[in-house]
Amino acid sequence: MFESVCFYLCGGLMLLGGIMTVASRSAVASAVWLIFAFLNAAGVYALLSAPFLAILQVLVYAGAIMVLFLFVIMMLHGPVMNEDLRSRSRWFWPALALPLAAIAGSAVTLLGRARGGAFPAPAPHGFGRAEQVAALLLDRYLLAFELISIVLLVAIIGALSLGLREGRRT
Amino acid sequence: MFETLALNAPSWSDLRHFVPETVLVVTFLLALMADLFARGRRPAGPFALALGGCLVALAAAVSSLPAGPRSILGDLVVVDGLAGFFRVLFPLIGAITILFSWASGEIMGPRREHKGEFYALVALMAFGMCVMASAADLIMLYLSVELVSLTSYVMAGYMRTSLRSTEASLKYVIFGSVSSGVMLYGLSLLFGLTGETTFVEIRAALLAGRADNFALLVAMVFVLAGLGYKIAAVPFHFWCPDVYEGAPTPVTALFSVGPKAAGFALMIRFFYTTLLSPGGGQAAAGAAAPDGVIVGPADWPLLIAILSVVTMTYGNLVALRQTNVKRLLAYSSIAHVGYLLMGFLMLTAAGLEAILFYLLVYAIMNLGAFLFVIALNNRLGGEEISDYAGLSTRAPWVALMMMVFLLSLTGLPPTAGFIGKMYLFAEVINRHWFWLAVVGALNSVVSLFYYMKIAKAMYFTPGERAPLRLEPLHTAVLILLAAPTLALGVYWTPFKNFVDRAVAGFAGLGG
Amino acid sequence: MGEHVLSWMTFAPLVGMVVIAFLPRERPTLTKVVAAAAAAVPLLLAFQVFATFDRSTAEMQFVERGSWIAPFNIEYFMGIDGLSVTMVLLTALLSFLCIIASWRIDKAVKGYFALFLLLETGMMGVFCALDFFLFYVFWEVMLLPMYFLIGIWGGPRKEYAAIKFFLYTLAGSVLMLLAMLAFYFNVRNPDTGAHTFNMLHMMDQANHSPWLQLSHVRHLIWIALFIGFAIKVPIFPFHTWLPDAHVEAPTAVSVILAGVLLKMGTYGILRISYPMLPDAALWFAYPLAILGMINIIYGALCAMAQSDMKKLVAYSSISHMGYVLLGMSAFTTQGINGAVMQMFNHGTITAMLFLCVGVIYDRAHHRDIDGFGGLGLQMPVYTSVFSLALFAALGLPGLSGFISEALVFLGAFPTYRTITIISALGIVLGAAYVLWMLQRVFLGEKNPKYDSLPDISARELATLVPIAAVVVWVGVQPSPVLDLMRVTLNNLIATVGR
Repeated sequence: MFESVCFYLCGGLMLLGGIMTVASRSAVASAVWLIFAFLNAAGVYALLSAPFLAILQVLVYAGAIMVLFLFVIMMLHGPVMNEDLRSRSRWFWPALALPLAAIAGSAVTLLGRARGGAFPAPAPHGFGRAEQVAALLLDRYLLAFELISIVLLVAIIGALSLGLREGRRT
Repeated sequence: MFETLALNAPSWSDLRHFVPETVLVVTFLLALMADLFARGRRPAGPFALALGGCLVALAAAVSSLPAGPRSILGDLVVVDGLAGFFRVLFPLIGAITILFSWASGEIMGPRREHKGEFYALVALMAFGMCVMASAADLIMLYLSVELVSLTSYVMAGYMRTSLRSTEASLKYVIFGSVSSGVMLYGLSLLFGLTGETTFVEIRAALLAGRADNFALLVAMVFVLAGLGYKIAAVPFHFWCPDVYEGAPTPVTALFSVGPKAAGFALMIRFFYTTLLSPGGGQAAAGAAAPDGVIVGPADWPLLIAILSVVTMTYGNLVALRQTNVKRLLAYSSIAHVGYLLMGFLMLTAAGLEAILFYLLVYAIMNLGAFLFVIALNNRLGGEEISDYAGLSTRAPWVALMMMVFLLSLTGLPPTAGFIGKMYLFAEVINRHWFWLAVVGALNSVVSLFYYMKIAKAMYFTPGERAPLRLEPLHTAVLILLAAPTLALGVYWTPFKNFVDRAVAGFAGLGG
Repeated sequence: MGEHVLSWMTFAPLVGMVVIAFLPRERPTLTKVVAAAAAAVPLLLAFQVFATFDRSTAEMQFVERGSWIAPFNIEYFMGIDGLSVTMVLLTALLSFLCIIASWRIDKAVKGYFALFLLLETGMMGVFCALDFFLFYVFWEVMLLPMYFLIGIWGGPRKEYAAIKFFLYTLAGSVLMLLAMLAFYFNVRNPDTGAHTFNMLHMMDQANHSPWLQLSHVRHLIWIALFIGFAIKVPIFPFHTWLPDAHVEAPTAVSVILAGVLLKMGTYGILRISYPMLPDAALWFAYPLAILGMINIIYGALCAMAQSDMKKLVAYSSISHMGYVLLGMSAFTTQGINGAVMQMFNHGTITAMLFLCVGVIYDRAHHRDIDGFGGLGLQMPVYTSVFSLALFAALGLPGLSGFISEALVFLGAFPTYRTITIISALGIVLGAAYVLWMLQRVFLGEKNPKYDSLPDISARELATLVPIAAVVVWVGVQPSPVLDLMRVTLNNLIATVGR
């Protein structure tokens, strides 16, 4: 019971964090709300018997990546968002609400139907511990692991390619 | 759990069946490094490396066509007939793209440094698409889609000094992330329902009756949204015209065939493996029965049929009003997705054969049409239909080749496009989806009108008379694409056999 | 050559087209000579066919057969019988004469003649093909050259007319494609058990699957095929493309359009719909007769209202094709013989009419009926040729049109009395518009503007005289043409009819 309450609390707060990240008008506020969402996600992981993932979530996302985000925002310090972006289109709230409603609706229906059945499938024994994650990543999911490295490489190329300013010719 | 893992752990020897992919990824890395040392106006090193890599991968794929399904690398990918077919298609598309980019002013123009990056990315995209075609696990499904998407974002924004190109990239990123988020949600539901990540295991779990039908339908719709985005089916197509128009034309050419085909490959693999079980299904009186029994929500073919009709009709009707050729071809490519979806919902080997045949033909003719746009953009600096006025006198052979592509896209004999469409319609008729066949057929009549708008500009509207000479490389590649478009309309038995073999060796369809 | 007469007739123009593509642009006369030579091959072979055609059998003759696409059971299967032989002869004759009639084309000469030859290949192929797939390919191949011939060399509204023609006919032919595929999957080759596109197998009802024997299925397929063919004929209400296309097309193309292309619609009904779905044909006979009547009367009334000569001839075509429909809907031997005879005769007569209109248009640069007057004195030779064509069109005894129209009415009367009587009004209306035009153009006050118009030239006469000879010859002595078709058509009626 207590676990359920914690789970829904974390989940709800995470959702709130997500919405506020998008809805905030200042970049710094967005970033802080994102940290908030990440922390709650870590809470959800922990409650779902994935402690290792929870710790990684805090360390990597809420910690390292977000700090980097904040640094970048601080360094840019001028007008972080221009006026066009600041003024929201009137479609903003509908656009946000519609997918949320769809997902929430489907989730509620599913939960209602899941009461009697075997949904969700139970987690396997020993699930989510560090050694198991390591074993999966470097054994069965090795290819996926390597693929992620390529994806990250592309992301770096993309960031560099799109971010470089015009006029710097070498 | 640890014991079962050990059974199918990946091993080095698995790479023997993964040669084309390996070649492509190594090509990507080498070309990327070669770009650092590239000097001069054009990056010859990365170009040669990427082209060579694609050709080697193509040769490797052709020489090692898999006979039957083989599950490798921890069951994450399956190498079978379907994967074998796409392994041939994607390096081919990559090689053609690389070839015509070399002489394209948009890619090789003065407004960009590190141009070699482009060739590396094409090779990488070919790799990503090959992986999409052989993914057999939810994780691989998602990762490969993301890999291709990320590469696409970078390529769409390649001309970063052009506002249109940057906007295209941004739009692509936003729509792309939303749809991949939706898909991820669907995948997580599917995992939650079955507790499995490989397609085959998921089907086993579904057959065991572990999943709720409604939940499965919801999961399926979300996954369909993600894949529908990749193939640009209505209503997940919003990004398509803007991105096609804004991106550099060689990139658009690649987008219009590559990721679409890869999306179809993945859709076929995913739906035909997880939601079909072996055996003949129910059929209407007189119609041939499907080759698989539907697992889970029984009406999903009808859902796809509606999607197909809406997609082709919308694409065609909106294309009627376009004056920009790139936008026109973008909408026409949406319409072609509608035709392809007709084959998809037949749930038969013959339907698959029709899809693969059409994808092959579509790749050739659509690349050809876009190459025409590129080649003329280099000379005329525009891509409005009116720019082509009087082209039949300025460059008669080029206009004639474009005519072949346009006829083929419309689906008129004796071109390859007609044969492709005929196989699709044949299967639809054979399964007694008559209303679908009639809608599809009338749609191709509509498409005639806008394709002929281009023909009209080239042949009927008087324009400048000074002869126009294209880049020799462009002319050569145009001939390379126009010849099979025409030849396959007259004699296509070898290609049909190739496609049939691919489908026979397909691991899905419950097999 | 002897073995492959039909292939030579079909593909000689295609070879000519390829040759023309590589000729230098600066030598237009060479292009024309090559085109004429390429079109002469089918014409010469047509004489051979006419001489050696066996008139006593309903079997296919000059058959050529070979596998084309084995995985889909498509064959290269050509052959002609009494139904198609008349059309093949007509095509060979008109194509060659049209090339001669186009001698004065000076815009994009290479393109014009190349497309014209491609068109001839398509037409020949349609009439010779006995494999449904092959038939369909030829059928579609014709569309493109027609589109360009109208769109590039046509009149002021050419682009509109060209795309309208293209869209209409494609809409019809995609339905035909679907019907063809439905046939393919429900007909089996009795020898191998495989599906087949072979038309002769499709005609044998024993090869049809049980599903294909359901009457509602047959009716639906019949309708799909019918729409495809009806657009080509064109049958009311699918006719609206025709006046535009005919008026805008250059003279020679109008000739081909009216002389050969329209016949493909009725040829398709007789070659495909009738023998493959005989019961559906009977089911649809009455509506078909009514449509024929509407075509006759409506076309004639429209023709009366025209002030443009070419438009008048175009609408008269709609009216004359109505006789074909009426004749074939009657399911009597006279009716069907009259129908096919009328297809042939309309081909020759309309060709003459369009050529004559072209002659005057080349001189006066307009075709307004009221803009002339008294041309009979100015251009006597021209006037006599044109009058001959016009009299043939209104069905004057002694000229070919009379024979076929009489046969049609004789055949249709026992089956549909009322319809036939109403249709006979078409003859009166036909006489009215023809004579009225004759009077306004050739008789009356001479228009001083045209005092210096030269009479018809030798080249123009050379294109008209052979057709005129055929018209008169068939009018006086119809048996050579009737003999060609009679056995086949009687056999068709015997298998299809009641």
